[in-house]
Amino acid sequence: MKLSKILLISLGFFFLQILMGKFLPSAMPIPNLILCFVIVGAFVEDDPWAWVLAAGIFGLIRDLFISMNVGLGTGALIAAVASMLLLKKFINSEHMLSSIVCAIVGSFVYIFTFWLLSKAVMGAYGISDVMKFFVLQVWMHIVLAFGIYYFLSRNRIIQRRNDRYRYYR
Amino acid sequence: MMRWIREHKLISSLLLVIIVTFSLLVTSIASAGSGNLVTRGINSVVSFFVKPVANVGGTVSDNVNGIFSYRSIMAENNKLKEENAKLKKQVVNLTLADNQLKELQELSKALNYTAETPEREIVSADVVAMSGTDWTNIFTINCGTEKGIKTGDAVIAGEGLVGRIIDAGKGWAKVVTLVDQNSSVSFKLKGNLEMIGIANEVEDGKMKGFMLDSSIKLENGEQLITSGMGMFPSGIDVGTITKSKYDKDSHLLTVLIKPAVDFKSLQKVSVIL
Repeated sequence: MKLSKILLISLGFFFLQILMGKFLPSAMPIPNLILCFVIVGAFVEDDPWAWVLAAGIFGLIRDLFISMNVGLGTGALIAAVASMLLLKKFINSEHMLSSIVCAIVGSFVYIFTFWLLSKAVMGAYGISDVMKFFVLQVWMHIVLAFGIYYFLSRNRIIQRRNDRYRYYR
Repeated sequence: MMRWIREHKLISSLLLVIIVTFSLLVTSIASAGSGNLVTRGINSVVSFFVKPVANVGGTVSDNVNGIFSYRSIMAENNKLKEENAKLKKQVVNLTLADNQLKELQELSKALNYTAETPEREIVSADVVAMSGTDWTNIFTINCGTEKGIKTGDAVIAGEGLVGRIIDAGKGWAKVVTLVDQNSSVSFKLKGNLEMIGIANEVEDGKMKGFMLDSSIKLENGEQLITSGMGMFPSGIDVGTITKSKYDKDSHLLTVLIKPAVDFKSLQKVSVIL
């Protein structure tokens, strides 16, 4: 996928993220759409750098607009995408069920890196609160990753030629 | 080097993003969460595009919720009608008190008396974005420095204290709530204004703190208000005590406080300037 298309879709997800806060019940955490998009994209596609760049840009925008300290979310997002590059070497990226592993590993790396960075910077948050949040949020990421994987993998399918009898007339 | 940058545009852009992020992180830590000119400028631009989206979302959400929660809205409407009738009766009494107040103000003006606590202006704002994707409790509102909002201002909702402003720019401001680990508040008992405590931790969505006087007896359900010491004005509802226990290790009477405000469903807030 081209970088411009990735950035455009990520921008759409950024605005959709804001809308989700208005519609989801108050007790539920909000799924991280940009995280799901970039980790599945980096997992499926061959060229990962565009996905890492998109993760960096939109992580930075999100940090600037919502977070207390700029850079924590960005670093966590880049680490999550980088973990996908490592995961690709161990599991089959062409199987749809791999998206579930991708969602779990990506979410865990994101949350754990975010917590480590915030602990280093602010020293405030406990790991138990973080893990409770992860357990509530990861199932939403699994569903999202499944859907995003389906749409991204369709781009990679080489369409079967239907005109095979054309040359035999 | 320029050739390498031209040949590896993506990687160069990524390195640039990482360098910018790192420098912004350093300045953010140095300023304890407050931004600088660059971050505020970027936020103002982002806020310009986000506000219409948030307004549309809020309007659609209100209408959809209205359809599905018709019964609760009717019940709330009836309750408000009764409350309105009571308030109308109170207005009559207040009108008489208003005349007395005017006399008092004229008298204080004649004597050149200056009040210790001047009246504070209140600005209403809508919640535009929440940090719901992680466990921090920070949100962004759609008003900022153009309305006089500045870092440190207290934020309230109808039920009570919400938090404080940590950064503000043109058209936006970031609020950290009371249930964030970086927040603390000094409170006193509504029933006994001499009993003061501090809440400086969070546990399972509730605030945790301690009383300065460990010998007092507390009951569950006691209401707490801000003490006025620190950054919050006095008299704002903080929450209610759900549990109190004497900690033998620290020799302090610890309390668990259920906040007065439901932070997850906040849509509108007010900022005390």
